[in-house]
Amino acid sequence: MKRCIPSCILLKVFAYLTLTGIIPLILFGIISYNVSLHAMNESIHDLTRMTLSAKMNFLELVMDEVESLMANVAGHDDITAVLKEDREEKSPFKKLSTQAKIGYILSGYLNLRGLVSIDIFSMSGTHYHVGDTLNVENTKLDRKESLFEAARASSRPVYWAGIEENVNAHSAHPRVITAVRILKTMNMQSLVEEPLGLLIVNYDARYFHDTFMQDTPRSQTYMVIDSQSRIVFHPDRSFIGTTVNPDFTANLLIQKPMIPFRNRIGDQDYSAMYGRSGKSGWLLLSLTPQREIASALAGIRHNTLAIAAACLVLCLAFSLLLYRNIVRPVKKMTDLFRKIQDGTIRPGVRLEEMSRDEIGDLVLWFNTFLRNLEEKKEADRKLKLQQKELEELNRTLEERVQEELQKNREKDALLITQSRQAAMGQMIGNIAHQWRQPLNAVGALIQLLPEAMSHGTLTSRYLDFQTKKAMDLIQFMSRTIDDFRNFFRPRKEKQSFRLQEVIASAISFLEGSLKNRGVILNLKVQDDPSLYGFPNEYAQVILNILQNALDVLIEREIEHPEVTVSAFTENGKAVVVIGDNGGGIAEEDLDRVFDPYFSTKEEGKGTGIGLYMSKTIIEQSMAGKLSAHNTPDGAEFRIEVPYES
Amino acid sequence: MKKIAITVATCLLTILVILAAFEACNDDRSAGPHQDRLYMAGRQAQDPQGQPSPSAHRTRVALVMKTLTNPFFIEMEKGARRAEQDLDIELIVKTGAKETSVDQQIAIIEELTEQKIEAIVIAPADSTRLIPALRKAWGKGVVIVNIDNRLDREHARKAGLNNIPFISVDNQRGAYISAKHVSDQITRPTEAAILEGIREADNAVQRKKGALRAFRENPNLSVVAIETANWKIDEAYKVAGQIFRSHPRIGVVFCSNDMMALGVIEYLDEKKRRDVLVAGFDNLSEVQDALRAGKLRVTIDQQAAVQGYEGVRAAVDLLRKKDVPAETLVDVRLITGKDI
Repeated sequence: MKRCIPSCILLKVFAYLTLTGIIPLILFGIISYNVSLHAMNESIHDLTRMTLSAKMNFLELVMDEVESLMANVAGHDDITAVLKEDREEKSPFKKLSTQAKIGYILSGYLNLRGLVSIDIFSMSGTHYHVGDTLNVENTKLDRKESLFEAARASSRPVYWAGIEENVNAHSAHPRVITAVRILKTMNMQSLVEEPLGLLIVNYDARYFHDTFMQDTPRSQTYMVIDSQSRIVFHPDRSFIGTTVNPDFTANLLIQKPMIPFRNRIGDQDYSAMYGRSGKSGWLLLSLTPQREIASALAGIRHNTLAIAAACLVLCLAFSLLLYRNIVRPVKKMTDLFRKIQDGTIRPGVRLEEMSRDEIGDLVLWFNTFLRNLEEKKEADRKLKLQQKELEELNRTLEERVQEELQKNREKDALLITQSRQAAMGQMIGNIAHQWRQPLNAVGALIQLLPEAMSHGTLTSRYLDFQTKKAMDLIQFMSRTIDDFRNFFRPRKEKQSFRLQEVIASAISFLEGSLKNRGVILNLKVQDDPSLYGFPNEYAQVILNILQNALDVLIEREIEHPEVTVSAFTENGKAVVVIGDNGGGIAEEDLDRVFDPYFSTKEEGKGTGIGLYMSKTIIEQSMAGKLSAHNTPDGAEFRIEVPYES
Repeated sequence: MKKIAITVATCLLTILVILAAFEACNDDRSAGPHQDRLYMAGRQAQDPQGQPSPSAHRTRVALVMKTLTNPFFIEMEKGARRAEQDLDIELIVKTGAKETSVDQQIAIIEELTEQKIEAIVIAPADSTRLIPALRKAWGKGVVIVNIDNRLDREHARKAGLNNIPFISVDNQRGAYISAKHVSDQITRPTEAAILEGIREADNAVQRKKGALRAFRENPNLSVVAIETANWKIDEAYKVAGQIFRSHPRIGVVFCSNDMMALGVIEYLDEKKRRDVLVAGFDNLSEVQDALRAGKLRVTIDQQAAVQGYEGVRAAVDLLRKKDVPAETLVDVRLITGKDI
């Protein structure tokens, strides 16, 4: 059912085209054919009527001429006189001279064109003749007799016998059109008309044919049929003299004269019309074959059919074009939609873009739709994959967090270890600074002893004094070692401690280095709150920041290097601010200074762990806050830790 | 689907039916040439020889003779008709009404020329007046054959009408032997008369010469009258009356043809004159009684039929490019009462 839709459109379009194009054309052809046929029939009937009248007039004219000739002959006194004297003439002179006399008279009438002969028979049988032969031997007397009888029976003075056998056997015209008149005289005694003789005029059937044939429309057949159903005139000469079926003429006479009617002859239809001669009763018949009319109109029919055929071909061509340009793309589109619905569409399938019209646009947008569909599908597929991954991830997240935490702890421990070791290194450097001066002093004291010996000033008292001084120095150094050892011993338990003490302890480690480098330390301690936490770690933070400041000041070779340490309380928090005039931290590095392994120091000098560790200690172990920002002169670090009340 | 298919099929079928109906208008073309079955009861009364149609072309030759009334020309026509049969041509026979109808003959020749006749065989009523008309016909390619009465050679030559074959009898000789036959029976001085034909006709002239020659050979004969009756029977009857009223003692009459002889005999019969010897020319069948009764002593058979036949044959030969002798003389025979 779905499949048939495109072809249905095609069939519909074809049917509509046919209905709107070809059928009206054919109807128009049929109508114009019929109208033309009607008009043609009308004009043919008019033509036939005119021609028939003209032919009838011609026929009557010929008859008139012949009849007037016959009247003249019949009224000729010499002829009637000869016929009245009619007797068996023995004398050749009488015979020949009478023949000559009548011959001269008749010869004068022979000028009428078409006449074959004029014959006069007296009642006793004497034959006077002029015509196409002089030889009147073997005259057909039986013909003469039957003509005489027929003429006697006729009511008209001239009896038109029709196409007859020539009474003159030697004439070149065996068949002639014969008119007969009985020559009569009034018997003065009985006052009854008595026949004197018979006048026969033979007219040339061939000449009549040729003259009657003139001005005959080509397609029509005219016939003259005499009262005995013999053909007097027919276009085909071989029919002249033959007899038509008497039924044929009888059937004709049922119709009205000069009115066209249909007549079927053999297997052909004719449009027939007839007229009847008043003089002779002969029929003048016109036959027009219907097929002549039809063939004259064949042009209309053939042209209509040709155009209809051409239109049909055009319709087919148009339908094919329609199929190619519209139906097929639509059908393909439908197929693809069905495949989309079924999910069997192959990726990358596109419709061929052919035209730039509406269908072309449709195809274009359909292709765009397909592409979008494919992209959406691809996106869906990726999303699903990601979802799957995510689910997988969610499933393993806890393990991983634990794992990461463990890793972080391990890393932190490593870092702390590293930073401790680094701090230790720094401490050793600091111890070296702190020990240099006492070691020099101890060395000088010892050197002074041999000198005093030589000078002799070595007394026990001097020795005691010197020993006591040296022992003090050694005592100081030993204490320093203890301090260091305590400082770097990690505390497991949180404890309360005083801020000032821790600051002092941290600074004490760096005093030597600061002095050596000429760095001025401003200590502004306003409050001394008690903190709870890990004092050593806290001190380590301060130490770290101070060490960094010291490093920067040295590295940047700042004139009048200065470090300020302020301690105060603010909003329940013990705040220590450590600032320097070392020029500050680059703005882009400000956010990252607390990241592990971030260092601005020269390669090999910084570990990048110090500040990270410091932030970890303050913010995670002591719930405080460590932050850094720049001042006009340099960097400033702020340590905020809640204090015990 | 089904519905639409049916609709379309119906559409196409309708078109086909319309087309077929349209084309059917022309179907009765097949009717053939059985035309005689159309309205003929059957071809009865066939012509004996069929009507000669103009399309089946046959050579058309005209025989132009002098008069309707002289049986001599009936014989001539019969001979010509035989030639028509033998040579398979179409013969048209034309005559003037009377022996003197020269103008009518001229008109006949002109008409025949107009009708594009191929040959004219002519027995001229006049030896000179017909020449222009014949010359015109000849100029248009019509073959001319001269029979019976010779055209005037001098005039013909002047008119440019040359090499016209002539077929006739030796008229002078025929007249001579005819006149000689009656002249020989005259032993006492006797008056004689001659009735000549149309004086402008060469054969009339020749016959008069022949008769005169015969009469002059007999010293007993004196020719007292030479009159013309223009070949005519009734005119001869009248002329005979005039002659015999002037010369009642005439005992010998030579008539240049039998028709005139019959006219003379009629007069003599009326006057009950049985002593006059009449000589004729032509041997018409109508003179047989007179010959038998001795009213006509002699006539000349000039074989009119042979002349007619030969004339037509010469014309056809000329049309078929055969040689024809310039002059053909047909034998003359002397006919008396003994020959019947």
